[in-house]
Amino acid sequence: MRPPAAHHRLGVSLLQQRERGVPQLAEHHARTPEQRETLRAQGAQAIMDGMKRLGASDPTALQDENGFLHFPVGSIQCTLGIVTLEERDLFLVYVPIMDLPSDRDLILPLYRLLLELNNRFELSIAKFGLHGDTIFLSAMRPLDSLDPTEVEDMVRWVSRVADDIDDRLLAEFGGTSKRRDG
Amino acid sequence: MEARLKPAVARILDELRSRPKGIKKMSARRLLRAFGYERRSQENVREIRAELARARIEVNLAVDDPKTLDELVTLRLRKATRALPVDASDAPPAGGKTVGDRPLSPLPTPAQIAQGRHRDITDVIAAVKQCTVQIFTEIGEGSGVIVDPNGLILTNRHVVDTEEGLSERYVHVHFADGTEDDATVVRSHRPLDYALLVVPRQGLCAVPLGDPLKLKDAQTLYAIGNPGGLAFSVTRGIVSAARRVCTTNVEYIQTDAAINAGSSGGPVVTEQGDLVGISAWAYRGDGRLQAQGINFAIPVDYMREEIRALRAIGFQEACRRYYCRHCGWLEESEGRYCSNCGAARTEGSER
Repeated sequence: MRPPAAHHRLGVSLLQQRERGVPQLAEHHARTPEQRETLRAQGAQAIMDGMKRLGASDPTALQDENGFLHFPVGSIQCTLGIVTLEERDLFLVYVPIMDLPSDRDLILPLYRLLLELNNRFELSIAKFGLHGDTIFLSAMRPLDSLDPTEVEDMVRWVSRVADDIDDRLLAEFGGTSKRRDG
Repeated sequence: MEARLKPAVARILDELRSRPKGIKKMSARRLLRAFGYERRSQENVREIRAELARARIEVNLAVDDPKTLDELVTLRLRKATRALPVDASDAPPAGGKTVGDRPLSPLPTPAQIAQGRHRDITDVIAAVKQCTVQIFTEIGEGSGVIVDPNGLILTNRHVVDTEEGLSERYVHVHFADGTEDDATVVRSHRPLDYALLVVPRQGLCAVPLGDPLKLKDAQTLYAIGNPGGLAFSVTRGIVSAARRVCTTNVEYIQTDAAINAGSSGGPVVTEQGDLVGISAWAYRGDGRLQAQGINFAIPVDYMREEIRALRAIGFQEACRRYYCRHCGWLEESEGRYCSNCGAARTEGSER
């Protein structure tokens, strides 16, 4: 699985800053490869423990070949795992909500609504994004001192918000504004 | 009888009824467009006359008179009090219209069906098969159906999708007669899951578009496609629900005519050979339910406006325009971003 486009773009802009010699926030967190390996192992363990707290007796069964975990919550499919951005490892939860519509009179209002929703504190750490033509809801956090309780909270929160909102978004923007008697 | 009238004829009839004198004037160009023709020809004028005569509408449109064939001339349409004979000399020759020696649409005309000729379903399906194509992309294959003799093919958007979910711009098409050609994707719609392709050919067999709004539950439907590479397989079923809405506000035709991977994009036709939908997807059940025979086709009337617009642009011109591989939008103007969805223009979208 590739990292979502928004994160990728952020990575590109950070790289450009580095080329210009701007001091990097990430440099404070510079780690040796061994330290990073340990951190990733601890993070992976915290994710597995968090999944057990969520009620999955054998979380490894939910894993794909890239180490990402996929499981359904209500009408949505939740994915979580560790992604690497700018040599930092992050815990990522994300949920695809819907495909982008094709009708001009649906796309623009949807873009606006998603930007407005992103600014709402009800979403908390979750945010909407666009990857290719899929709209998804996601939350990210550095792996440093990741706790199973935190994993559980993040997964519960993101999947609950996504499950609440996906039906409403689909009903309004998921189809077409075309009429059949054209 | 009126149930089988074309939508264009039904609209004209409605307008005539609302006029006090029962007379309507319209330009020959508008009349041709209403029937979905871009240009006039003796063949399509014959068909228009026959269609209007069936609805008892008189029109001063003569097949051989060059004056009334001029696209700008104003025609007078009037509701006749008596039944108008569909003149045998005006009716299309048996086996359909011709361009030179090539058959254009081998399907029986509504007049022929009404007269009891060409009732045999095997003839109808053999004709529709000629209009069905196989579509090959880098990641898979699907089916498609020719909807305009000048080379317009209708299929599913997911048939022409790449692995990343973008739309292909060029795909490969195999025709029923064994020939093949490259096709250009000129328009697609992701939620409705249709795509329109242009092949550089003229005088192909095309399936006439039917009226899916008039479908009734339990009516027989036939689906043709290439499931698993088994080219031009025919399946039969009935309309399980004529206007099924699933999750989004899109209406599908639910049918039990088998639709499998590879038959996506193939035609779903009535017993008269009218194209009512294209095979889209099948519900296979979830953890609790193992489903069978729950298949969905997208009604063609969603695409009617799009097909008309493409005819107006001209198919070859459409191939030259910018095509957004994200949202399937076609536009003439220059720019860095798609004016429909805002996506940055990608390589391979322009010819």
